[in-house]
Amino acid sequence: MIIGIDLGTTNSLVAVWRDGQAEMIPNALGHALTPSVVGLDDSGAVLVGLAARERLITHPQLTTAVFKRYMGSDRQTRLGTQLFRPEELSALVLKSLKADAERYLGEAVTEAVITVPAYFSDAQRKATKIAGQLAGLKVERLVNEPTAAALAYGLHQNEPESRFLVFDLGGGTFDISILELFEGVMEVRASAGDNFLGGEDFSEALIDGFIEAVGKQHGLTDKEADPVVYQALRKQAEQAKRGLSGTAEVAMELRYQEQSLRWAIGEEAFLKLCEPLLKRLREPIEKALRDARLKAIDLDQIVLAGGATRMPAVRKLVAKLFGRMPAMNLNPDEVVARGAAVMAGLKARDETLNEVVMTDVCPYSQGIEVSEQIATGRFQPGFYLPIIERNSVVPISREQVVSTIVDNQMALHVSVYQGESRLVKDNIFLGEITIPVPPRPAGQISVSVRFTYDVNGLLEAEMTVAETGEKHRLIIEENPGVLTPAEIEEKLAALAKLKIHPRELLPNAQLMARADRMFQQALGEERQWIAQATARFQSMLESQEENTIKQGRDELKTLLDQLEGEGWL
Amino acid sequence: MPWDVLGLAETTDERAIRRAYAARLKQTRPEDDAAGFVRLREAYEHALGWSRWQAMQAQGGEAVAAPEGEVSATVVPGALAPADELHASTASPAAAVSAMAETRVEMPAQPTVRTVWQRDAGAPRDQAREALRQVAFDRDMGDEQVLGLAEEYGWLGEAPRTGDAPMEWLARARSRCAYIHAQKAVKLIAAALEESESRAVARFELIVRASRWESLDGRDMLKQVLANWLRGRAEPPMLLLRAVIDWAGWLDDFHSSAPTMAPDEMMLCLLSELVALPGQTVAPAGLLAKLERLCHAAFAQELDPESLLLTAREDCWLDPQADWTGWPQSWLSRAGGRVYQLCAQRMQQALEAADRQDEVARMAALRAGFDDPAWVDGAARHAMAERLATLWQEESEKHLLLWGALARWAGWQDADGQSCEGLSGAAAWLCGQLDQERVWQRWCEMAAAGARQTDTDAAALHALLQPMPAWRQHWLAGRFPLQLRVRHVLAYVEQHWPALFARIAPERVTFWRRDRLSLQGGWWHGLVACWLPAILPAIGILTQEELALAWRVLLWLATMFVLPAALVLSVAAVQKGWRRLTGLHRQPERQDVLARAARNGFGPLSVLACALLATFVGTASLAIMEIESWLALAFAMLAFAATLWFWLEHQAGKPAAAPDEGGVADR
Repeated sequence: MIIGIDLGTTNSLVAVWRDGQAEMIPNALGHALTPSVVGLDDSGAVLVGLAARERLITHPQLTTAVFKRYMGSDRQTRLGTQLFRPEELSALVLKSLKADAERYLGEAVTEAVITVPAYFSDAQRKATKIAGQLAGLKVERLVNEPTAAALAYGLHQNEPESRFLVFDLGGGTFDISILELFEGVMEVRASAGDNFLGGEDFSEALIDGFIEAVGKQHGLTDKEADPVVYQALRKQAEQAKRGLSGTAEVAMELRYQEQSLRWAIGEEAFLKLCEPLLKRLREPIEKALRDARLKAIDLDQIVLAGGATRMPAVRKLVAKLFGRMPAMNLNPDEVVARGAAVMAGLKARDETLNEVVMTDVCPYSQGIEVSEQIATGRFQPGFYLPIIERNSVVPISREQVVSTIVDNQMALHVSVYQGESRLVKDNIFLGEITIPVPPRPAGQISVSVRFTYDVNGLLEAEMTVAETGEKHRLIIEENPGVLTPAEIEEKLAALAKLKIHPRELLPNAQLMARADRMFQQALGEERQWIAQATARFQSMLESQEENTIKQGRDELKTLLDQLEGEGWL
Repeated sequence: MPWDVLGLAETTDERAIRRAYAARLKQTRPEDDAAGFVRLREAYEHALGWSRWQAMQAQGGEAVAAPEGEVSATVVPGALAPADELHASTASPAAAVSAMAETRVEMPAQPTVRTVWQRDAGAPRDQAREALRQVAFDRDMGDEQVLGLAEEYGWLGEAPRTGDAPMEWLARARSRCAYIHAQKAVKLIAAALEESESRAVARFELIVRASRWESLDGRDMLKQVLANWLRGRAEPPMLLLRAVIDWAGWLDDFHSSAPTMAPDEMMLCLLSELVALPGQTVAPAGLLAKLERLCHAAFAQELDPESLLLTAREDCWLDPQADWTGWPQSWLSRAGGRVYQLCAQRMQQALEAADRQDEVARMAALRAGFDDPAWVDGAARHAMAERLATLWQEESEKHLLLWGALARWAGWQDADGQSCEGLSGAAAWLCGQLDQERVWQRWCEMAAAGARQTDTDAAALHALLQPMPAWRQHWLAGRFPLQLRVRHVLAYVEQHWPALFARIAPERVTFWRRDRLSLQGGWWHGLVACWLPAILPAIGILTQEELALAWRVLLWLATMFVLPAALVLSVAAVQKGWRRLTGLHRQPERQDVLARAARNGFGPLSVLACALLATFVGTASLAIMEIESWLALAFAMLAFAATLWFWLEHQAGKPAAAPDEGGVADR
């Protein structure tokens, strides 16, 4: 059985294709969403999910979130005494999802389809594959998130032919895909996006607004100075964001240095705060439409995906941009995971999906550096020659012929870049190779450079010297952000040594963490209640009687819910 | 081929192509058969492109040619028609609207497959549908009425009431409304611009803040109309232009590797970038005109060669000194390429038209092209000259004047005729020919002067090149250093200038190469020459009876052998000493000649001198002998010792014959 995983910035989900439909798989707490938060508990065992997220506030040194943004880089995060790479942190989340799926399906799971933002670069994609490998999953395929969302939607389309745009604003990334559906073919026409724009940025905007409005008066100027304050603020911002979806005004509250800070924000003010963010949403849409050679009016439907699209501000913007209301038939949180499950079904050749084929595109142009003749006989290096244009259907193989520019040139230096700028210095460097060529007068030696880009978004370059027929290959893999096979083995061993918090005890851990967090945030009488209830629950836990524990858990949960309202996901 | 992959006959039916593609795709899934999919996809894209191109050919012309109507007053359509590379819709919105009107009564007959957004709630269905049809297709409907209807049925809003009209109608209606609004906006901005530019910017910023321009389609329309309007102005308002560019975000697209912009937009972006460049002195209007000319030169199909050359010269497109930072390099190189081609063509044609035998006419034809604008750049000049030189290389006849002019023009030779370093190919060949000719000329000059000069080189060349009577030649050949020099010069010429060697009269070569033992035998010849006069006193000594027999024999021997040798050697020593005194031996080639002369023998004069001296000494010794015979003996002993020393010295210094490094060519 292949599972589909949406490995998100804030939340991750897992789903499976069964009996002709996508099923969401709940985690140990019974939720579909598992927060992408990893932490160590007091005994040093790994905690993943909601429990870890509660501990973000109480134990910021031992917990981390939003690591997806650092995928493909070699940035390390310190938890307690240990250092973790973003791949390892993602692997821990994947492991927990895998355990959930195994429990739910009752069989071992070894293969998965994982979604990545369409705008993930080569290194980021490789890092995601490695994370799967570290978690003991063979990554059958990486799917672009908006493509997955479209797959989930496309299957629900009744129209035989339609074009639609998927607007995927997740926790940390923003992706746009334009799809065309005809004759059972789902064709991605174009995708564009912004890797650093998501719901989290709206929260940050709210935090900044809070600090600007009330924090400064009370000596709170740097939001990141104290992690405890920062995480508390984040939680408040998150709640306010959700609140703004329903009511006209919400308040953010924070206990800071024995004072209670409160800031009420209305819808208007919120819109103003996130205006720069909303502006950034427009650009990728225009780009994708241009690349697909469509006008907004040619689209049949606008589909929203990603939790951040629940925000009314975002929806209003979409409606304005396209002059119509976007579709919201599916839960935007789950739509990507459902799509991943569809892809997994396709991959497993499920007969209910026999009539569907999907083609995807590469989000970036890939090319090489060339020298251009700026006047007769004068060359200037540093220009970019795209070989595979962005938004070409993959897999694809394209060739361009380049030639020598100097008499008796002995070698040709091929540098591979990814990006859209005319000058290579503004694009991302992927790799390079120097190939020898026989000395001849300028221009007589031509070398054809062939780029092959596969369905998973991995690139290979092949250079052929026309005169000698010699072939040289460059597989883009050397990258400081990507682990080597030896390092992967090492990390696998290191991960195997880590203690994982037992899955069945997760609900208790989560509840304790929540109680701890609320104790820190509460005041006076409330504090007393929480302390008492926690102590009672603690003693029940020690009794090790399952019924008692369950009863105690319910009691504590009821109390906490009363104090705080339903927990948010 | 693509049609085979798709399993179709050539067709323009897009639906059929798609269907065939979809059917084949299910067998060649991209994740299973990557190579097969790549082939299929290429075939599909090719087929689609072909069918679309066919469709465009069929109806494209009409849409563009449609009358512009009343809108042309404000929207000035682009004067140029940039070529395929700027692939973009050149058709102005005005044309789109008028094209819309052309098809006013043709209702789409077949049922459409598009979804209808929303069933209308309030107004009767037919009414909404009819209104939409009119707005979409009725060209005569007034603007206000259009906007009124759009307002009434909410077509611009998120829940338009359209009856069950197809979406295309709504799209048309929307773009018509957007066009009207955009026109109005432009009029407002233009009015504000009459007052001042900052007012116009403020007005513009106010206008785009309206929610109407938030929708992507409306925005596109406004961008297009604005671009058209701004582009058509003779004096572009830069502040306003920058504001528009910032708002429209054109610059990002403009800087991408494959911009997908309309030419108007591209032109405006370029303009704004160029004006922002530091050190830019040209006024925006001038820049825009320059840009337009460049664009025209780079892309316009129909070109007037004269005006192209004129503008190329005026705008200095090919001047390597000119600073072209910020300019579109691709346009420049394209325009430059065209100018270059044109100039090259003209030059070649002029040369071909001139009489092949008439060198002066050909020179004039060549010179006429020298000032063409393409040749401002040295590299281009070089390339062109090389092209001509390659052609001439194949010709048999020589046109040295023509060649020289070309070489100087191309910069291969400086004004003095000195070739530069590092030439190759035809250039090297041409310069080689010219160099040879120059050297030959100089030799001829030297040879002409050589008759009156003492300079050996000049004399040698004179002997080799100048015609002269046979007796004089033989007389010259008698001068040993000269003969040596001539041989030397011959060897040098043969080695370094084989072509010139062939020009020297062969009989002279053989004459000067002849071996002349009589004149350059060893110093024994001198000895023999001295012997003859020494015989007389020797006989005299033998017949003297006053002396004892032993003394007689001794004296006889001394006179016969030692005396001549001593004479020869002393003359040589005197010669050597004299040269050393006069400093002649310091000149390397002279020294060489001298050394060889000392080693190998003497010229006829020296021999004569020796002989005379020998006679004199011999006679003198006879007279002396009567008084003191021991002195003659001492003299003989001294001479013998000197001979030995001289001989030994020259045995040691024999291999010291240094090669002569072209005394001829060096000068």
